Amino acid sequence: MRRVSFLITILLLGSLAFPSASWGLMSSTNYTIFADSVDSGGVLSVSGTYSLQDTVGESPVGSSTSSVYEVIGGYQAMDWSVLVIDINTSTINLGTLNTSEVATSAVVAIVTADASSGYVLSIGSVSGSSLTAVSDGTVSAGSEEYGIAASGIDAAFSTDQGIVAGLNLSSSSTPVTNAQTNLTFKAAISGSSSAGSRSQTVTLMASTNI
Amino acid sequence: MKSRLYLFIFFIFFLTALPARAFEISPVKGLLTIDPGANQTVIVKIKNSEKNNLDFKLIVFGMRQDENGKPVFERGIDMAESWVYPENSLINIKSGETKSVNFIIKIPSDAVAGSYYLGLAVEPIFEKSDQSSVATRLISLLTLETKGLVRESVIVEKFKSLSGVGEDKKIKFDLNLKNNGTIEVLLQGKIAVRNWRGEEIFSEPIILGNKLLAGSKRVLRPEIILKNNISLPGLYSAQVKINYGRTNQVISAIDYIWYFPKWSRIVFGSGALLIFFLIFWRMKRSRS
Repeated sequence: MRRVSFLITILLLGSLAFPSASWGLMSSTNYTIFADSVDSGGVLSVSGTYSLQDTVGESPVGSSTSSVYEVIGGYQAMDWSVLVIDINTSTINLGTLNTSEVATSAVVAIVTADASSGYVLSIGSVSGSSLTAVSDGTVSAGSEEYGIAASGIDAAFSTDQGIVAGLNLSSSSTPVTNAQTNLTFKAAISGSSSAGSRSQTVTLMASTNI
Repeated sequence: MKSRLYLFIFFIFFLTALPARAFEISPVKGLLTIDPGANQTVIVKIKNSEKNNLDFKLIVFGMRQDENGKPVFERGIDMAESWVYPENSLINIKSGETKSVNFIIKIPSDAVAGSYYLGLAVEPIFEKSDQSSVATRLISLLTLETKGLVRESVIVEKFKSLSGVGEDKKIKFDLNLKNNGTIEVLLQGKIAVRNWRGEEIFSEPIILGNKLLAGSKRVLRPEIILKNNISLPGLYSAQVKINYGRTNQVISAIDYIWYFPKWSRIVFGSGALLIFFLIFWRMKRSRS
């Protein structure tokens, strides 16, 4: 009797030491974790292609062998990583333009994203008035053109681009700390450009990657 | 006179002389599975790292995925934008402080099962000015999966080699995928090349990028290098095979490619010349 109790104790201790056998749906080849809900406190599960924050005591999504499966309500997974944006200045002064040179003004945007999927920095919205958007990749003196250039390790383009909502400025698919994107606003006018002042509000937008 | 005229042609681009703006948010993304008709709250923490106290406005955007897999946020692209709203549209946060804001989620009882993609945006408000400015916005991604049967379906819209096999034995493909299902899927893929006898001479995994959201397209340019796997000229088939989703579906597409290395072109050319010469010689001989 004592021997049986001893064996049961050993088995119980063993199951506590190796709890993976009691976890939820986790399969091999195309490693599927959807709800290893028996986890004890929101750690990040990572496989080659899939990562997900675990939560405690949540209902998993049902699985199926066909292309259809059932989503069950009540599951919640939040990635509590931090996303930070910092710009060195919100002042861009292109001054009084003339036909002989390209006026420039710089803004440095710094992003920290500790999420495993990295970040995307883009132009969220543009309002106000401006000159003709550059279309040939270079803002040139003597032509009416207005655009933005981006540089830095994560910069999305190397030519001058028109400033439009949705324009991707820089991105990374891995976590970054103080990733710097140098933005240069550029403007030039031609002899036939109409006189007047122009002003614009450009919103820089950062999010994590999908 | 002309230079004086230019003096009148002036454009002043000035974006407000405001201090730099630094702030942070967390979480950066979240996934909720939720029953139709149910309510839920999502908390977003905002830290004001500025020297000044700031007002922040809270906005909900719809989210779509561009052809490169990057998120794009717009208003009016997803019906779920009206299911989520901030408890307060404005919040004042003192310098150095962190505050939590609530976004309320109310799923309609007739919501169709599947995924809905949103961006919970936080944007500092700066002083009103006649001048324009550079503003900043941070977005937390939110995926809402409503309860019910969801379908995984990805199709290959295009799989075509952009050129034949060159001397460097590289082949670049144009591969377009589309998620026709009702939920996002992860993708894994490989390209295999077979000779005219159907023997696989090459196989290599290809990178297909991040999750493909429901309704999104993905444009890829995978490139393979055949190196020593190919030597004989002829017609080869290239097959892309893609595994996707939690239900592990498989789709594939085939394209055919010709391989004619330089030496084979010289041999074929010489052979053709020889045959031409022989025919010409025989014709000349029969006439005489």
